[in-house]
Amino acid sequence: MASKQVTDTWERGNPYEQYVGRWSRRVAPLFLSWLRIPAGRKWLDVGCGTGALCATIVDHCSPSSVAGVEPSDGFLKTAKENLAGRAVLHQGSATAIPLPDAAVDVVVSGLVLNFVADQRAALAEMARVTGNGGTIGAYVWDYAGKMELMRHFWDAAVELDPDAAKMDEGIRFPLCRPEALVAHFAGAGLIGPEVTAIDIPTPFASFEDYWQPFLGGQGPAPAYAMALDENARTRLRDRIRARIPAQADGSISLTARAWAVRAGVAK
Amino acid sequence: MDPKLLEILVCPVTKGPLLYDKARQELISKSARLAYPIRDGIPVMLEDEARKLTPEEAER
Repeated sequence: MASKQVTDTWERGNPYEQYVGRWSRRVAPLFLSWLRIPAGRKWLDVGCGTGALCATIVDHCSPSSVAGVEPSDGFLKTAKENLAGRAVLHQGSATAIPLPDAAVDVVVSGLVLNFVADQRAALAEMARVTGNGGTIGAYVWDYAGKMELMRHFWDAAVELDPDAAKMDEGIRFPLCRPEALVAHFAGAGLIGPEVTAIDIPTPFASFEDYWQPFLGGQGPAPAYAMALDENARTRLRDRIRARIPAQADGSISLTARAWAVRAGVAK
Repeated sequence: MDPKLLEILVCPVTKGPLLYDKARQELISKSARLAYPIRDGIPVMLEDEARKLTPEEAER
């Protein structure tokens, strides 16, 4: 067996965190500042995952309560540890939320909507549990545009293998465009939908620093990379390296853009 | 289980009220004839994971 080609940092972190979790978390406070919800409101986080957005709500928004609903028990266990009672958690589906009508003032959802099978039903449920005058807000990655760390990967992958397009989130998730998000929210009868871009820098010290997280296998792009044989993976790596803009010192400065959408609820 | 949860949760299927069975660690929805398990203090409000009530339980 060849010597391990992993760094210390990589061995300590979990694969999802290294790939995209660390960038996702930085979007949450910017999204919440944009929502500008007054203190003392009741919040629900749909698809709360490991609780990063719930924790940011508690820290930044002075809520009267925060509830999180999430279908995966694995994520929920981590969320329970991370939140330590600061939010009430229950396991449930975005399309059958176990809360009464008009139970909360604000419903949010971070990097989830595009993964829900029935997006219309999910938004209808989010609207049902929101009270009159409440707000629904969500954000998704700009997979087709400026989620650059993924975009470079898929553009190179498709150049080498047109079939890779089947896994490209930029193609699979048409909801993740500003006009589609506005249409989705307006179509659910929500009031005055608005979209904004939230850009965060995703700096990498070197190309290896960029490439290493794709070898963790978690998420569509890493899963694709790890399903290739060694030669094909090397070709893909070299193709990405050739197209990605690097500074003189080898560092790489990319942007990750999320589209955030918000709308009001009137009943 | 966090007592605050019992105040806010309803049956995800019928949106009807729930009864807390402390001994069995379940949330009972008479309207859906389902019992939702509570695991590690977290209510599992998924229809697929719920237990169907026996006719006697539903009558009670």
